[in-house]
Amino acid sequence: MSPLIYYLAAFGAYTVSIILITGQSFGWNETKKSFYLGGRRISMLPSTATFCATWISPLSFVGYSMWLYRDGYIAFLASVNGWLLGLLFFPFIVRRLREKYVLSLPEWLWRTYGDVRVRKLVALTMIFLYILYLVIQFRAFGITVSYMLDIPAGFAATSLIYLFVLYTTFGGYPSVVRSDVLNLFLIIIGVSVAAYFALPGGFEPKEAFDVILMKGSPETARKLTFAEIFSAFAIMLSWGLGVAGNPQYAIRIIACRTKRDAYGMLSVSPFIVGWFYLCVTFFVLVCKAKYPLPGSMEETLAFARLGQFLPDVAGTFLLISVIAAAVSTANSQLLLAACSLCYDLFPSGTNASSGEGPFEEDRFLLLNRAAITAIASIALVLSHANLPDYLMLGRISWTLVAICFFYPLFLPKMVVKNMLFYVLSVALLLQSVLVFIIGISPEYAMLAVLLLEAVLFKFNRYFMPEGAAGLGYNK
Amino acid sequence: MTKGLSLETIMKWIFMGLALSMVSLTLGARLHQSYIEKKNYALESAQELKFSIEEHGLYVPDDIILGRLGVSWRMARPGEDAKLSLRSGGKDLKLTLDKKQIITSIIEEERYLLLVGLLGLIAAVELAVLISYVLTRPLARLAWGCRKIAGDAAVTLPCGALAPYEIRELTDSFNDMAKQIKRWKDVQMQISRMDRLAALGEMISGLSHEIRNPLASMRIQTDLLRLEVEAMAPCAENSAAKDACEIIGIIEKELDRLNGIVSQLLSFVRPKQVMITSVLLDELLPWCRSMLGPQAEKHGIRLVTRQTSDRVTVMADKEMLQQLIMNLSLNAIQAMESSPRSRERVLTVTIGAEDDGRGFLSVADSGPGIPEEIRHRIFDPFFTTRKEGTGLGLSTVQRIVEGLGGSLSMDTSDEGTVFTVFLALDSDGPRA
Repeated sequence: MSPLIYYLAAFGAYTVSIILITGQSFGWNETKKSFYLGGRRISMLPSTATFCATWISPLSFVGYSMWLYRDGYIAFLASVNGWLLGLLFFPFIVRRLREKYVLSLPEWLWRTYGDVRVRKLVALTMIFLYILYLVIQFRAFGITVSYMLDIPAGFAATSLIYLFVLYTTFGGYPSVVRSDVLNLFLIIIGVSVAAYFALPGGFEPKEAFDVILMKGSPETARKLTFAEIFSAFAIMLSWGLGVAGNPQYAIRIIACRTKRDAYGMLSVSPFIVGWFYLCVTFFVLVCKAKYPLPGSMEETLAFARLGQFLPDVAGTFLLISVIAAAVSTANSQLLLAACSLCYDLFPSGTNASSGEGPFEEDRFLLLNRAAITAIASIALVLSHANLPDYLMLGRISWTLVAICFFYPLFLPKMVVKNMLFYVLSVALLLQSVLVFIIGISPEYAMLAVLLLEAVLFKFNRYFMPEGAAGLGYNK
Repeated sequence: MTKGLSLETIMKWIFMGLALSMVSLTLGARLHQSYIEKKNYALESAQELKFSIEEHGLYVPDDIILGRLGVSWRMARPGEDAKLSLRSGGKDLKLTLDKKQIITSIIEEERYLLLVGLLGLIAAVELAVLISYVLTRPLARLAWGCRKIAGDAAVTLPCGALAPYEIRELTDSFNDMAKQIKRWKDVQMQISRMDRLAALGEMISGLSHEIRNPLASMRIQTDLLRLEVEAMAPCAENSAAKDACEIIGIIEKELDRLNGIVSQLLSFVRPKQVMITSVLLDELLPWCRSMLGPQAEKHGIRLVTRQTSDRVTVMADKEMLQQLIMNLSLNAIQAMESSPRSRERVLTVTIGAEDDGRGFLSVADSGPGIPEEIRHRIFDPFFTTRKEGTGLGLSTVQRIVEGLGGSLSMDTSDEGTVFTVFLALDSDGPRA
């Protein structure tokens, strides 16, 4: 039977499942807290599911796979190591994040460091970087769907993710969590099936081991140059810091029912994420050894082509898992971007005394949904613009995240409260100049900017009297 | 109360079900139609081919025949029913329709339609959610409003500018009903207060008479006792007589105080006859300064008198107005005693005239304001927060204002409290 029938059936089933599982929104008893954080009542298992599903995006799936296919284990060293390094930081900020009872990371910065300008600056940066992130998800989804349904990649294919994401995000965080449980299930099934059926003669432990060791591959004999090692290290560091400071994970820590659930989520997640990377790495290494791809090809399209080497059903699961990865990350990022816009940047109507009863809350959440639609529409249009590739967009975003959040989240005692706004403004401006005007790699620029931030804080701490500087953070 | 499914949820599921069914029906009908068309076309082309081969007795190789018939046909397996039998070069060929191939080709051809169907499905479901929201939200608001009213709270529901006529009508009716209920509650409260006051008045009146007579007798006897003591031994010469005189003085003082309270009670239940004449409010300000100034100074309070209009003449009883100002001012001075030292203590008495033909007189303090939980009780007789208060000051003020045919308003916050008395202006009197 033609693979198109499998693809269509799987795609239709996915659409109906998403509609039925995440279908409720606009509840009368909704509040900002329930919309943004699920009322901080999410237990460990759904929290783990949404944490992992958000983690696995087309960037960490397709982007990593094609880099691994192209350059071998250097991709693993730089990206997977970096991301998992970021995961190690989270347990240190659980208590700090949860004690403030905030609804967003910019609000946390404001309540911790007492400067509302920092909240607005970081919110603005988050809107920018999450739109970039969304472009990645939209593009990957569009190309995968166009490949699966054999239609040209265009608005028709991308509109589907637009509608999916709107539908799941309209229900707020609880709806995102429900859809993420389904998405994570599909992702894990997809990559596991792909890894199992990757070897042409069926799964053989010995052959699998040879593939992992890349026996017979010319790259195993090649020594890495100093520049390559430094570049990989810089990428690993910057991506690790980007993951560690990423509000999409921090907000999941805040949304957990208890601190225990948060620690549980952080303990279980590495195993799920680790299994995912193991399966993807094995599948791609098999493809690299056995199935050469012709010439240069768009990365999602190239990945989809790798899927066709699998049996039809396994290939279908793999492609559906790419779609699930795109949807799961996009809705979470869209919710955060809308929160930054409506709650942090223009917090009109967030004062409890400004309206009667639940009407004000209702109006605010309606505005939030309008913001979700507007941001998704901008991302939809930009996904058809001539922007750089996934990895570049991801690198720009991660570095901005690290610049905004690394010191305030992880080294609060180093931060000079009264200078935080100026230091972050200078840092973001400098990063933009270095990356967009001078053309330096985002990771190198970020390392320099982080160093500058440290110097500025030290300088202020040294020259300003302690009372005027406002050292540390408000407990 | 058990909570079932909400109307919004039911509507969402109904709309979602409808959307799903409509899309399935439309796509199903289209695919079925395509299948029938493809099948009929395959049968017609096969019949034409059969006719040309058999009519001319041609021999055409099997693969050529299958090639001409297209993907919709395949050779029938042994035992399988043949849809087409034809004789080519003396050989019988049995063919049947390949349904799997027909379906595959239909799906390949109609994939755009399927994509549009999925897009339409999600869009329809999103629209269903939005429609459910728009239709049921006003009902949810009304339910919330009813719960609030049942909980004795005043509520006014907002009505969106884009709300349809029916919802607007329903919301307006609800708000009118809420207003009527509030008005009715106010009237009920007033009637109940009047009843309470009448009963209280009767009781006080009887008690006061019973107390006042013995008190008067006791006062006379005490005076007589003092005279007796002084007659027996002058207080200046005898220390025992001096002590007795002091004790008699204390008894007299306490008796006078008791008499004062009884008089106050009597004046409350049986107020003196009101003598309404033309009163120039401007004349009250110098009186205020002379009467209240020393009191205010004693408590570290700055007294301010102001007038927003000159020569304001109202129809009132001057003596009662003075009593009213005195009561309100003493209340204000006592209220400011609990305000923090850092805050300036100011007692402001203002007179003036409104554009609507009313004169006013207000007494404002910079105290901590009246707590919300006791605001509704401050005009009740005998309600007081002070140990030594009688609780008659503000209720007397209210009675005086009612007797003068005026109105009394109160505005209180953390910054202080303002009592304003509005009285009818004397239409013949001068007013600047």
